Amino acid sequence: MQMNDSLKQNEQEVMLAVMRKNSDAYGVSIHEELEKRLKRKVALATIYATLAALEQKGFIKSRKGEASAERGGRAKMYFEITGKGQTALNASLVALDRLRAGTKFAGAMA
Amino acid sequence: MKDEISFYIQGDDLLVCVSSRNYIFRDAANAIKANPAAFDAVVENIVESEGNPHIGSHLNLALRELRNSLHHGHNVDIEFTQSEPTSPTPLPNPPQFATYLYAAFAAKNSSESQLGDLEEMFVKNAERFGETRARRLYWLEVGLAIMPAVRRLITGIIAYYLKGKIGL
Repeated sequence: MQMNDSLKQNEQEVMLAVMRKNSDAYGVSIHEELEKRLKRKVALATIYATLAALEQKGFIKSRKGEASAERGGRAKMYFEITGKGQTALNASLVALDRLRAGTKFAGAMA
Repeated sequence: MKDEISFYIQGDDLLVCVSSRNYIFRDAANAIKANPAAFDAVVENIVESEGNPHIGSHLNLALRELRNSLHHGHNVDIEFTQSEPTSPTPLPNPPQFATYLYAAFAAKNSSESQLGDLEEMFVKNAERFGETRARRLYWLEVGLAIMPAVRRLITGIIAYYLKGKIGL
């Protein structure tokens, strides 16, 4: 795999959140999904920066959605994972699984 | 704009809220609980009338179907009344200066949707934690977002100043 196709941990997390939200993946829903699953605060700015990096790599694509009153009439930006993105994410997670296989956590970590 | 429709059981009544108007189906709650098909008839008719300004006639039709559905086995007297329009609660506004700062520093092609996300989160936080905390959280998100750009700007100004001083 080329270096450009490798994924950082936050990129994996954001891509998995986008996949989980399916067709409803936009800034706020991704933010809520990450906080719910990771059980920690994630800044919106971090998510936007990650999404921008992923879009530049061609791993996700965006489309403009609908506006609503609670958004001050501003349109949403929906995201979805491309085929290339799915391949990269799968390869990245499989590599982690391979690395983790057979390892044991000792003491308090067990 | 489409009408938003929600249903509430209020005591013995079925309350149907269409945008800012409330319609009350008197004594319909128990009948609907006993016969869900009657509720489906109401829902179907009101949903069909989305965007129709003469929604009252659709509600009357829904009421008639509701009565028909309840004809067997349920002897209930359902009265249709339309309440006075209620003014919708105004949404709280996020800090304007923070919004201006964000718009000034964010990438132009995505700032519109990002400001929408921030405003949506502000409204949700205001409902959940109150407006004061929601404003603090809004400022925090804006601060975290613009910090790298502000840092770059300050570094650039210092570098420009130093170059001038050294004479490069």
